[in-house]
Amino acid sequence: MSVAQRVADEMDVTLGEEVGYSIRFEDKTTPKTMLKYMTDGMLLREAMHDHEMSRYSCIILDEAHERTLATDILMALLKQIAERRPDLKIIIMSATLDAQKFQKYFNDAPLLAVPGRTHPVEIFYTPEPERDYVEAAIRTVLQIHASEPEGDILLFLTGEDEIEDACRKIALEAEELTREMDAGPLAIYPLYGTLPPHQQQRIFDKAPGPLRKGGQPGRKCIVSTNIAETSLTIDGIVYVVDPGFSKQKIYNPRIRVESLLVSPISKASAQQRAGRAGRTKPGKCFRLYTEKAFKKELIEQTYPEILRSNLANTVLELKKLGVEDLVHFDLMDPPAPETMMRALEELNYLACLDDDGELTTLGGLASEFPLDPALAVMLISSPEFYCSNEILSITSLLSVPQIFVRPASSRKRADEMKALFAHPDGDHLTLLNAYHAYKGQETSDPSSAKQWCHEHFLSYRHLSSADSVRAQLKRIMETHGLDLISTPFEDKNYYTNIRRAMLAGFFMQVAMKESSGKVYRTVKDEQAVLIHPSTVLRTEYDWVLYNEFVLTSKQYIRTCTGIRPEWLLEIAPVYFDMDTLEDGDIKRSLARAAEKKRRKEAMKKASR
Amino acid sequence: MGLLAESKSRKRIQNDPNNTRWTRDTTTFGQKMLRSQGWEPGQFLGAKNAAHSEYHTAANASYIRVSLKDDMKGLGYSKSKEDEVTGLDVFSDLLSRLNGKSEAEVEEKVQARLQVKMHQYVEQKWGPMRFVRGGLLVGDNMQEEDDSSDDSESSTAADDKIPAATKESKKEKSKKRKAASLKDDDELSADDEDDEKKKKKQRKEERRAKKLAKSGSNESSDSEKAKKKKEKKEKKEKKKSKKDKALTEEEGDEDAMELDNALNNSSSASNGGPEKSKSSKKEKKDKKDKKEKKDKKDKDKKKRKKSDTSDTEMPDASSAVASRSGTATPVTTGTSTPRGGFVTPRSRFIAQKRAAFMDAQALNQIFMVKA
Repeated sequence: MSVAQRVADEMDVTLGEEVGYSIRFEDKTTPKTMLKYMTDGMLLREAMHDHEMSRYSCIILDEAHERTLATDILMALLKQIAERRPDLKIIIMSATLDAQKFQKYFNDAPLLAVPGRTHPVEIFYTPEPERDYVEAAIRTVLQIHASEPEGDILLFLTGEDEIEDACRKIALEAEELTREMDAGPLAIYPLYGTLPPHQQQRIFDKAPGPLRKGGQPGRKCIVSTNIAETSLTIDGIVYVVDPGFSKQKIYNPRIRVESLLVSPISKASAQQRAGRAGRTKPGKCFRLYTEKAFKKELIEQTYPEILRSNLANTVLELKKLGVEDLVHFDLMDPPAPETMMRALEELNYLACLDDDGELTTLGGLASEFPLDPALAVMLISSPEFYCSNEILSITSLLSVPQIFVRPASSRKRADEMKALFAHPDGDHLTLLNAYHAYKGQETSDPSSAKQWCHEHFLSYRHLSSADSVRAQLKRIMETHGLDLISTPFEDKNYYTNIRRAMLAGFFMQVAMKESSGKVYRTVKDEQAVLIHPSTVLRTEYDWVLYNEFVLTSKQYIRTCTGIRPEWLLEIAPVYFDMDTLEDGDIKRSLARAAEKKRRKEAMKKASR
Repeated sequence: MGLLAESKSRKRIQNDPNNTRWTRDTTTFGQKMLRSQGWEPGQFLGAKNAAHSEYHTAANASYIRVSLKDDMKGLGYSKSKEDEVTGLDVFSDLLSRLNGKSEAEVEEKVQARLQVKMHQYVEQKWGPMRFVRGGLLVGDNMQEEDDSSDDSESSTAADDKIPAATKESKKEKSKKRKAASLKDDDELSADDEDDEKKKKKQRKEERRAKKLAKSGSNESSDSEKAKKKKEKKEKKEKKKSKKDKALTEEEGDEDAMELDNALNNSSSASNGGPEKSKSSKKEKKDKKDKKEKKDKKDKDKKKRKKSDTSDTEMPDASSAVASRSGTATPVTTGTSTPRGGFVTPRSRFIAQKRAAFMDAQALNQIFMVKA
């Protein structure tokens, strides 16, 4: 967006005419547009309807080294298209060290090396492994501040809590250092994804000046997750402190869990981090591990997203892109067969793929939505349950980051506020309540909505982005003739309908409570899980559906809603087929539920 | 710490934590689909005979395994612990006796080992000692200004001083030894920068000298190594003497690191890419395992190379510049100084001082009285 603006300025044209851009919720182009900036995801969406990409004569794919899912698929597509369209020019731009891999992949395409304008960076290792990398990092920062010449510091840590904690400690120590040793002032800024934008902006502030005239110059220290590694460039960084860890999302297809765990970074990633120090002048990178560890324990390249993700959505996209042979689709990094199997299986159960692997009508419709297949299917089938308005809201709320804010400083207060919106039947309904309250506030008094959100520990930013997601999804629903209806709120089935409708998409994400204790067990995969402590679910439900299954310190299911077992047999009879289910508690419980229901119906008939 | 001393938390392993039942099940839709398109178990997905398939890894064959990291240990920390084998020292002594080493030599090694252990113990127990920078030893000649310095020892000083401290080095000391006539006066670490500048100047001079005296690069790097070793040994001796005072010091590497730092500063402009010369690598390795291995190697090598070292010092220094410029050398923190953290530095400081005044022995130490 800002690039498009800049280019439009320099070409002396109006943004949105000759030069335009297109991002997820915004398309600023006209038929006059010659140069279009867009995200990889948007180009992929366009390719679904235009398999030849015939609108373009030249495609430049930038930041290919980030290897996002969309980039990987685009590269494979472009490789195919290039064979059919000799006129199409393709430029892949990447900051990788493994250019050979790219070159080989693109049939030995010519390689142009553009030397960077970076300065040399000195790398330092520790002679011994560190006992506590956070503490070592803090000490390194303080040492740099005390003894190195002017220049800002960038410290990489793994997560929000760790960063905030480190910021506090550094601030405390730096203050004392300044007071007692007359060191320059040290400004410390945290940086992570969920930080509000105005706080993120602060990292671009100038480093503080000396306390008094002629005193030691001040500097700033940014403590960041790996978003400062590639996505964002901060000038003035001269020192980088790299403990060698980051949080990485990895999907395990066997138990269908997504983990977000602290793991060692890759060599490429370590070099990237070091490179951050040399943007304005020669810099230094302090690695809090030994050179031996660097050589032996770090993998060469960070795994591309396609190897780390659930591919259900990707497979659906590929099908829509006209890729028939998934096994031999020429990806740069083909995913693990098991991951592919799981994705196909899920799509089949969701009835997006028929038994021959062909895209069904439902599947085609689902791929129109920029959503996970489960969410899309839930949304598409919601009119059958008379609650598509509500499901639409829930879907958009699930597509944005957590709307409930829980700052470390006032956890208790935040929990009290969340309790105001709590619905005893589950987190999805709680989300919905909060959203309705927000909308009510917004219509009655739009100017105070922000203040109201702040008071109620809700994220105004995420709520309003959920609002725009909702508007976008609503447009898609309307174009495909999906009705937007609601059960009257007074109806006692209002919430029941919503819970049942959710099951239409999430029947594969159901867990049953074990006879003893708090442990739940996921259906079919038989994984022991706990409900995430953030839940509002108070009533003891034997069966819950969950939005995500994550592995952090334990195996948790997050965002849960209570359901009834008989619904499962009703809504997803194929998945919960009594003939193929493994023997065990789950099957017995389902059989009981079925029996009870049968009897009830028989009684109804008899009384009639 | 025995084998049993690790984590005591128990966890019941479920029936099938990896859900291999699903993996083995050949009737699932996904497996049927893949097979129908010509996939066989054990094969990669992706184009047949792809040119880039040589880059495929295990991650392309199966999902990525992760492990839960629930501690704060730095990269490679636990591994290094495991690598520590007990009882190997005695065995290696035995071997060296069998190899015909003299008793005195073996004894020397044992002593060196003890020293390292003692050093580690002291450091872990009381924390490191810090020193301020003095002048700079360049090649053979001492460049020694007003700024000669000695230990401004305060082994348990307030935590806010930590960072400045670790930089300090023993190189000065070895230099001092050579110069032999240095006054001890305390200095603030702020002088570091001055020193570095000085060093730079000296380096430049040396480089000029190098041009004149061209020596075989191999030879010179060897000799450089040897020289390093020598320096290190000197340091060690110094250390020993220190310990007599029951004081602790920073790691022996620091001076080397410091020197490197200065070198790099001076030559980084001329030398860009990281070239890893053998010598620097070896040197680093030595640094890393500060165990008996090092001492052994040092001594042996020193013996072997003494003849080499007798070359003029000039090429030594210059080759040092050449080979090390651009390579990565540790300058920072040294190894973890195991102190409790940053919680209550001030109160602890006060408490320590108070305790020290109650203790006659500690008082002697503070006033450096040999009682």
